[in-house]
Amino acid sequence: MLINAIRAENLKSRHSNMWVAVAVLPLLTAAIGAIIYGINASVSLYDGDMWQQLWLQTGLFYGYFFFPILIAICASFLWRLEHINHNWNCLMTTPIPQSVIFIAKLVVLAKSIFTAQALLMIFIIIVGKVGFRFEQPIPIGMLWWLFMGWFSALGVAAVQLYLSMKIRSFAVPVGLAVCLCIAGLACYITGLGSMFPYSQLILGLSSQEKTLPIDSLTTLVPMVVFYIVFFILLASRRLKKIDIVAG
Amino acid sequence: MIVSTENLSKEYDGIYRVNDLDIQINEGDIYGFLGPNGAGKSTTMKMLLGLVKPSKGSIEIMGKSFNEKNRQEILKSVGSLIESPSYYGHLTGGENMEIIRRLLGLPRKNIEEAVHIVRMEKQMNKKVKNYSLGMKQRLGIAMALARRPKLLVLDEPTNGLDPAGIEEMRELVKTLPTKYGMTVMISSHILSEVDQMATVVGIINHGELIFQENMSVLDAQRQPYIILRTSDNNLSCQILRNMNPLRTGDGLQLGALSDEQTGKAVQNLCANDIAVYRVEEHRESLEDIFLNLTGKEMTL
Repeated sequence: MLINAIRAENLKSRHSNMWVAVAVLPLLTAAIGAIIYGINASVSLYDGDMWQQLWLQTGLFYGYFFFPILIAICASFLWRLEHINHNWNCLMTTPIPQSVIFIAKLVVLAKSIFTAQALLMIFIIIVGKVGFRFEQPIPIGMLWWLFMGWFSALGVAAVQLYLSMKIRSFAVPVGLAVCLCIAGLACYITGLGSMFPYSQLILGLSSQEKTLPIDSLTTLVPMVVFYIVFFILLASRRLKKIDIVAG
Repeated sequence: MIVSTENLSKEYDGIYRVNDLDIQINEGDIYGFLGPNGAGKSTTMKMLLGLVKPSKGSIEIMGKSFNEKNRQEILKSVGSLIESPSYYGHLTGGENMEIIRRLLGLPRKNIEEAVHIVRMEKQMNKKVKNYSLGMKQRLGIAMALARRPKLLVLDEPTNGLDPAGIEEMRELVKTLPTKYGMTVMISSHILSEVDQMATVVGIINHGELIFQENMSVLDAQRQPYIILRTSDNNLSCQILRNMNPLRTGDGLQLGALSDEQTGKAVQNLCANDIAVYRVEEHRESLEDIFLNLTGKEMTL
């Protein structure tokens, strides 16, 4: 049943403008990262691991703002499909459990986030190899940036998906994401990074640390899982209780 | 009994928009659910589908109580089109049908059949945002039919359709019980529309079910009557006094007459040098019945 629902969600997101955002934001991020890196490189600030330096510059705005906002935009796109053209009526008269409806959307959102992450890594490799002609080999740590960055963003995905389900507006959940990003930054700075979704993501991307934060995995992973499960339950409960108003 | 509700009620802001509804729909019925705009038709239908939670009362569909436990089982056999058709405009008609197929895990045959019933085969490659409203309605019905439902709930499916579309919808609905063994509940605020296809009529006004009867019972009650317009209506009334005529504005009304009785009446008038301009047979319409029940006209 879940597989069927995911396959249906995949089809719904076909030709969606969401994919434009998924392609453009990593491109923008890589471009900004390259510019900052280029300016600093011209005054010879860097030595040592060039890839880490490039990721430091690229991941700065990405982790703090661009990535969570991209997730918020994608979540809003996914629910916008249902908020318009009376699709709530059709969705909720389908014989599938309410939790499956939410999980299927979460899986598609996770897929779009992973695509964005993969694109970003490709753009970074292009910037490093072609733009700045790095001679150092592509670091294995990039796999961490890709996978842990993706995994730690799933908490934010669950929160944003819940907000966009509840709020009919496209922009309001995105606006809320900006506010939550600031809260996330505060949590990250105060060392509570693994407790709050919007800072879990900064921690997972690990662009601002010289070494990979392996020791924080024991708190980060369970907390991400906790937020995913919590918001699935919350969304399912809401869908069971509310009167559906289709617009 | 395919649908049965008991004291079904919905309260919004302290006011019961639907109040103590006892709806009974038998298998194979076309249940015409009538009422003015805002009477509570959509709310009732949404409650039957689990979209709106009742404030009190109970719903049984196909012998199962509608609750969270039975929701999925019931919805497998219930197709619906509520308010306006649901569709993903950026996708083609075919892709919209495929979404339904995937969600319900249906074989492709079901989709082909449903599309064929609404005669939309040629429109499947077009994006739905470019469909006319009539085409969207038909696509919505195809989506509802795809699961081969035992019960089909249609909320004002002719809204926004042109006369040809309305006629087409009516013909389609009429065939569903006999051809596909479905039970149909169809709402409308246009009484004459339902008059022509329903086998049972339920009338809701201010959230209350004020009438629920088989169309055959209703037809038996709705005796036809004859209206005569003549060159001298007053004199005609006197001549035909043994038929108990009723003087109306511009003619006279006689009761249910046989062909022979009608012929004799006309003959009688002609013999008295009265010219007969019109002989019309009338029948009480659903509007008249509604008017009698509520004491006011039902607005479009």
